Amino acid sequence: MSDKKHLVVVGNGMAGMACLSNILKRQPNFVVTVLSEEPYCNYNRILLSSVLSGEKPEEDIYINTEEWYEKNNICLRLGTKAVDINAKTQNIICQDGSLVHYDKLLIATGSDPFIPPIDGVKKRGVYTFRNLADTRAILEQCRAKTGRAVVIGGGLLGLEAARGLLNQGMKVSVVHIMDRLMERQVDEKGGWFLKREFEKMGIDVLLKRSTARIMGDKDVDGVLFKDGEIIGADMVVVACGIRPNVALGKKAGLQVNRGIVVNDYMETNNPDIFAVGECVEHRGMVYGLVAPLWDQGKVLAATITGDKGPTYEGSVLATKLKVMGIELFSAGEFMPEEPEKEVVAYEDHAFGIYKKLVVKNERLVGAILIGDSSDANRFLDMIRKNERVSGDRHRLLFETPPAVPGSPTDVMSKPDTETICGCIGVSKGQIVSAIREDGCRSVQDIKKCTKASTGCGTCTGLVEQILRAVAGSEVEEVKEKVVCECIPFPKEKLRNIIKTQNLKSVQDVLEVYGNGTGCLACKPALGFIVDEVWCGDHEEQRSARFINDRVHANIQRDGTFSVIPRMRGGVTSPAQLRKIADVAEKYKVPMVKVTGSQRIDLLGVKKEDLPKMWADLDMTSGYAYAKAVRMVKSCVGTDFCRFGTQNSIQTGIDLETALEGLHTPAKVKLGVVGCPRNCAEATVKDIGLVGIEGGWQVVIGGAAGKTVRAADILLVVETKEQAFEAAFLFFQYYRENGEYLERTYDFVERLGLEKIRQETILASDEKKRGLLERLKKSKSKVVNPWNEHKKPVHPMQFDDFVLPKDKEALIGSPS
Amino acid sequence: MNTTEQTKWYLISETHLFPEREGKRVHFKDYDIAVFNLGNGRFRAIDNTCPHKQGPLADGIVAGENVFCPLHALKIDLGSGCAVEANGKVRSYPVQVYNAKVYVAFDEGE
Repeated sequence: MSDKKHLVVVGNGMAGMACLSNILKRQPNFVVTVLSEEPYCNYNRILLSSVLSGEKPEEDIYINTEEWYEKNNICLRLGTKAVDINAKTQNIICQDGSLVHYDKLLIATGSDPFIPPIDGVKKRGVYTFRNLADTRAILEQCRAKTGRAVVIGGGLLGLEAARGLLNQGMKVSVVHIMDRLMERQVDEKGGWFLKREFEKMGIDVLLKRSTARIMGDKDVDGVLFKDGEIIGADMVVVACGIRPNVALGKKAGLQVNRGIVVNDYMETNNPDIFAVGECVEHRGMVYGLVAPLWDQGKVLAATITGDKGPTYEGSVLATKLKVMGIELFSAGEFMPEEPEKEVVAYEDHAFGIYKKLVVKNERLVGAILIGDSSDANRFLDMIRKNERVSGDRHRLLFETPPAVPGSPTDVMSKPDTETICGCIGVSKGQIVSAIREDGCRSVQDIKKCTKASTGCGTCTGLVEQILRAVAGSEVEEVKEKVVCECIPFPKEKLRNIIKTQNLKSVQDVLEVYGNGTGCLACKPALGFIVDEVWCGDHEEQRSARFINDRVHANIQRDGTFSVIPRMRGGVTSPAQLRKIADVAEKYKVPMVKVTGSQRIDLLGVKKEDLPKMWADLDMTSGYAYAKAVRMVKSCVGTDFCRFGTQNSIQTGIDLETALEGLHTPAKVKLGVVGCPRNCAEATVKDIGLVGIEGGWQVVIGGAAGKTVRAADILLVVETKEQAFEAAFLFFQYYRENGEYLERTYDFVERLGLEKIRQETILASDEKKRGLLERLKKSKSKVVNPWNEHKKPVHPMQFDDFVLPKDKEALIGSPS
Repeated sequence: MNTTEQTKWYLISETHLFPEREGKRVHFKDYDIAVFNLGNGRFRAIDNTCPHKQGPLADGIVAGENVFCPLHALKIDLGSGCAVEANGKVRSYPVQVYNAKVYVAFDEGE
């Protein structure tokens, strides 16, 4: 132990940890400490924009877990900011007053957001967008109240932030000081295409605007430009670029220009101090991208472990914009300012495609791709390798034969040297060798082994193609429960997609994210999900519904239907019974039966009689045919029963009135009993209320069908109102999280009672309010489907076509 | 299904009376058929009675070129009338759409 040297890494970001991984691979004689100013494990900063846009949950962007640090014997000190370095005594002074001695020091402090000197940047509602804390704060404000967001800065980060804010329901404007967006990555024409794409999404783009002041008292309420124009704002995100964080380098006495100066071996001017990532300057260049960090880390790992030899010679600048719905790639030099530079370009205004290549001395030196970046890696490779390009410029732009996108042979026809993962810089050959030599059999294995696809993640599809082509049938399939093969996403992800992509109908979802047609399994499932996600504010498509939900009756084995009117709490009246009897006679209903749910069933009804019967009955549909709230069964309770302790009849009626008409993943039957004798069997219902002396038990997950299961007690409360709130919380939570066709008894077993308690009755007030509000909104959209007798959704909703026997035919084709 | 200049085409109704991606039952003489509007002007016609347990196919869920019987979910190809991944077949009939009207050649069913 004592002969080991102490390596201290300041900075727990992508550069520091990627470099540290490379160092550890060399099994060095180091004891390692990592000082992390941020209070969490190492995460993928590039993906913060996906967290903001709602495409990824926060937990998906962590790169290394605490176990990784433990397993590698790394002492990780979270929330510890290094404030000073004494290079003579080799000590680091931390903000908490502690002193850390190092033998070797690796500075990986990254960058800080640049905040221009504008009045008012300290107001509440002004954010930077650089780390997880920023992202959380922005999301919190979006969730509390949507409104107008102004993003100052039209570069990569600003545009990604703008798209994220749009997804969060904000009205977004991007303000940029230059005459075009992303002026460092695109030329004037590219800027025009880019602006148009953002405007199509509904984002306002304001160019050539210099911000003078952020206005408002404590809270921001507007932005004033130098020309006097004012725009309203409830939130301002400052994304004006980044500056290398060199403070510690200066304190350590290192040579610092824009960044901490390093040579090709990644050494600083102090033999015991190294630096990597965005905080360094190499051959005059400072990089704010991921690929260079990775290359630098490999070289540094060799140098610091005593294998000095490999050199870092700089990186080609390449940028990919990660904005849902917009493809942009830019690499190298693209401004043809020198006479020897020639341009090959293609424009397609209808599809928003712009491609521009810059060739110098028969070599590709720059590329801009907007709208279609499928050739990005090919061009990046050509730029990196500095190869001579063929005389035929057309072939340069459109490789022949054209690759068939998505075909498994597509990527395999490319050379081994072709870059697959542009973020990390992993070639096809490296991935193939990870599969052949290292035995990788899943994308997850390949990610671990090569780090490919751990950056922005856009190459995951290519990695999978290579895996399938090389490993064939040996590929380990990841079994994630998906809604259906037609739409292969887990339900939670699909709900997210539907929300963020504003998809309002089943067909929209199938066409954009599925196979376009769907099937018996997924169409009704999607019908439920779009309804639930939009709280009833969706576009209903009856063709996605089972026949029962198209004609609001239950199809029987002979093709006739059964009609069950709502009879809340199982309570009826002589007048109602008389009406039902009249209808049964009038329409010659072959069977009238009392159901197990305290209701009356009229069986054997012809489809065309349904609307007429509903008109005569003038009652509400009992939903006995649907994946929905069926009924609340009740016992007699204190009104009449000599044992009753609670008023179960009225409580049952009220509970049914509160929830009737709402759709659920599978049918939901409820029960209310006035005492624990349980005469109406509430303890084998999906949700039950059991009256006890002085209160109610709320029970969930009971069943008395094919499965028999006694319900679990969710909680015990004093009042009916409290019991209802608990029941509603569970009900809405189940609607949002149950798999389609999953009954509550399976749902409760799958998640466990404790988890359900934590997410419902024990959840934060904000979460509870959200559940109850969404339930309320859904409920407000409920209409009695039997009203369709007055106004059918389609003229032929209940009718067949009947042609007269003597119908004349047309001889020969009508056309 | 070969139609010729002698084929008898019967006008069923106007296209807008067939809800998109749904089936509608059509009765004519002894025929009991189901006509499906697949969208984009594509229509299909088959016998309405499922070969499995006589379910009304017009009430099934339509997905692409298939219908699923509402009773026990037998999957039937709407073009050929053949059950998919199962045994069984129903007659299929030539359909034509002309001037927003749907015509079926009942006698040419096979």
